[in-house]
Amino acid sequence: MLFVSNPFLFLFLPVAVIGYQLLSRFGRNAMLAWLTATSLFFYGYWNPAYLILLCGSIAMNFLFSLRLVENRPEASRSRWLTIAIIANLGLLAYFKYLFPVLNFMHRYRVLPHSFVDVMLPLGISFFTFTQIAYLIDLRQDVAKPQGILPYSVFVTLFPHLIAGPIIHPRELMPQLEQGRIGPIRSDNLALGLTWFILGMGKKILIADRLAPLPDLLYAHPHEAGVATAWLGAICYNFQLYFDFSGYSDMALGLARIFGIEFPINFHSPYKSQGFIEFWGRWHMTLSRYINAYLFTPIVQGIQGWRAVRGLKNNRATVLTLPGFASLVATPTLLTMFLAGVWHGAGLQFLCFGVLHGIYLTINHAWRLLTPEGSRLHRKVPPAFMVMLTFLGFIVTEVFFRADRVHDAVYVLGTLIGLHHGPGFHGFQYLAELPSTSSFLGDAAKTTAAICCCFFIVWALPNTQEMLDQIPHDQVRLPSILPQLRWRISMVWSFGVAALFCISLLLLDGKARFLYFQF
Amino acid sequence: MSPSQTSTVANSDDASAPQPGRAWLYVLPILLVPVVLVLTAWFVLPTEWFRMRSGNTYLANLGYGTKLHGRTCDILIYGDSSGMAGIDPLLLEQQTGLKACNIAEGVGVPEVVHLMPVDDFLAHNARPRFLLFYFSPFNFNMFNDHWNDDLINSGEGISYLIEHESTGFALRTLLKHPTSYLSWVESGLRLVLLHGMGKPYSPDIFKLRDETGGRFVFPNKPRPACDPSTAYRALPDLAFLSYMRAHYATGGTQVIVDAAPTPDCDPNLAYYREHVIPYVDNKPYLTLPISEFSNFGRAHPNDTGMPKVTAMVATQINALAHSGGDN
Repeated sequence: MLFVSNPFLFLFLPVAVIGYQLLSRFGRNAMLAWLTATSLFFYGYWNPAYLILLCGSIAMNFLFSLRLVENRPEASRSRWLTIAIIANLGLLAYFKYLFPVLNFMHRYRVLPHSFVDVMLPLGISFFTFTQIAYLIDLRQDVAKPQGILPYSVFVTLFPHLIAGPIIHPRELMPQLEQGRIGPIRSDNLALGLTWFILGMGKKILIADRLAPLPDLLYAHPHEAGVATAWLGAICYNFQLYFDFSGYSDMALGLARIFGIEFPINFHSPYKSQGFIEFWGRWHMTLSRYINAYLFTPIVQGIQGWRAVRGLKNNRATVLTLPGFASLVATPTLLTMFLAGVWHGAGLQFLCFGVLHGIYLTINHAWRLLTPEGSRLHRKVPPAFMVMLTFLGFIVTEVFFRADRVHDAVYVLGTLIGLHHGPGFHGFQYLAELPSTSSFLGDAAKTTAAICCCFFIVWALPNTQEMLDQIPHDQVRLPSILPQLRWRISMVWSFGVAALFCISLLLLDGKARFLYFQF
Repeated sequence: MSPSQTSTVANSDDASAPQPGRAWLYVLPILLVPVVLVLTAWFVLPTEWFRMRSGNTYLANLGYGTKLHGRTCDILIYGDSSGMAGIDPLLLEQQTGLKACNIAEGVGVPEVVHLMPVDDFLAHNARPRFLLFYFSPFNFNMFNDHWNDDLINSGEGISYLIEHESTGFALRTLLKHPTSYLSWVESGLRLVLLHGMGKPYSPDIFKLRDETGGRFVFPNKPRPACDPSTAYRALPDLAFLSYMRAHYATGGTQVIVDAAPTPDCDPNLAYYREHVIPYVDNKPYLTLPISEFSNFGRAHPNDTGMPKVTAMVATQINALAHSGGDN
């Protein structure tokens, strides 16, 4: 069930909220049971058969968690953690990678016959990663063991089940404890609804309106000219941005309706002045996860390997070429390679990951060579850095969006003028644009729409800034935030109601969230 | 890579929390939005005002059969859009010598109200000698209660339901399909948003079907190639077929049930021949070259294909008329 679908908006959500409020009279367990039941229904609505997988995964990991509690021998805990991680990754590998890899091998004649892909269970990466994090934290005594009910809520809570944010046990578990969880409060309802509708507006009014042009470009990459390729590629960057930040806003808003606070997942990434900063602002909970459970262990492994060989690991070593290669470039490239693989089994995702690894490595080198306050820093204006980061991201997104590496390379060639296709209006497939995105059929209107998007992402405060949900020292200045800051007033109420109304009228039953495929 | 550790929330300060009354007042207009939309749609979408401004010629011509009163039609044609576009009553009249009326509707209407347009017609007009039910081969399952929520599908049927059937029946039916109604609310009101302030259709659009005896004329451009999709496959519902034959074959009316011809390159053709054609009356099953279908919407016969389809129906009716027997 999608957040932007009629069954969710008009049936599921009202029932979930009213039921929760009624059951809140019966205490914590009733509320947790209701949240679990509604979340399972939410998941099963898509494909009831995969409920077995989700419930099986929860049961399996809960049983593993019992083997990881503090009073057991250390060796046994480590062994069980290894088994648990292998089991989880095995499940993920089966559904996400096995058949695409086998078919890839068949295409290159390594295997004699092809295989029918299994359907990728929705959100399998997210609920697998969430549970692995819990088990690791339990093994490291960072998390406390939980009962089956709070554990089920932690894994399945519908606002984050399908596409994150990836929640850390220490963020959610305390909120489910007696005394913290409670009936729905009107201020949380007001904030949560507003947050949800702002996200819905981003998704429906911007992302879905821009989507048809990239869809056409990547369906017919060899027939697009330079202008079409540029406009299509930039539109895709904004589609992805508003799609995923809209989803994140909706997830955070939904959780807040129930009084639950999720971590911020999106913090104006297109305002970043480099890729290190970018990954601190884009899909922040995934970055955090990768950082904690992939990058850091890899760095520690390399440091250990170097220490055994008598090599130093200090800052001065990082400034040498071999030290940089071993302590920065290798773990960064390896981490981003794996992050690329996480996005999917295609080679294009691998290119996406490796490109980001290269960008991050260059960014790290730049930081090391030009420390804060250096002459070069002063010479390069921040606007240039922001623009360079955006352009770099466009290149990676071409791989991310294209169906094949060959298509991505072709589109990149068109972007730099290697292929001469027709002018924008000569792109014959523009006739297929839906009426709700007909402006995309005109180059000037598309450019104007893109300028509006640039204005929104570069000049306006982001949702959580407007809603006053981040510390004030993180708000970027100068800003027109004081004029846009949300407050409980009738002006805001009618404004949000109007946004909700227009979003509903442009709701497209066929629209999907881009990150749902992962 | 050093992700920011910005975590949850910041400023949820209970001391500065607003008064609950104000917060409830704040959410009220937001919660009322769906209610207002649903009610607005109920009253606006089934009106002529809306249909004239919908930008959709299908909708503008909805319920053609209900506008006919006191007519004597020897041949009555009802079915989905294949029937609307594929059979020319005037040509049929020339070839059979019998007065023909085509009250077929887009598939959304039979999907939602099944055969009610026929009942509505019979309530105000003379019984025909021949009643032809004419559907695309994958649409012989109109009793299955599966509604297609695309704009020009169940939306038409819902509009027909609200406008022409009793309020109680409409409410009961829509309560069984709340999400379809909501889809129609959204897509219908979206049309109001897009076209409401624009120029309405000319009233001549209503004469369109009158002038053709009920045939709905589609753009004539030939279809270049067959749709490779095999999605258009559905087994016929024998209960639906039996009902059409049994319920209406009274008072001197002979019932004919035909499957609309498909392009000869249709990948579903073998499926239709095996699973559908044994249950319908137009045997041997007619197929046409793809160029004889219109390149608009689903494959409907264009001005080249339509005379062949009409001739096929005329042949069936002439045979029945001369034999004088039951079908």
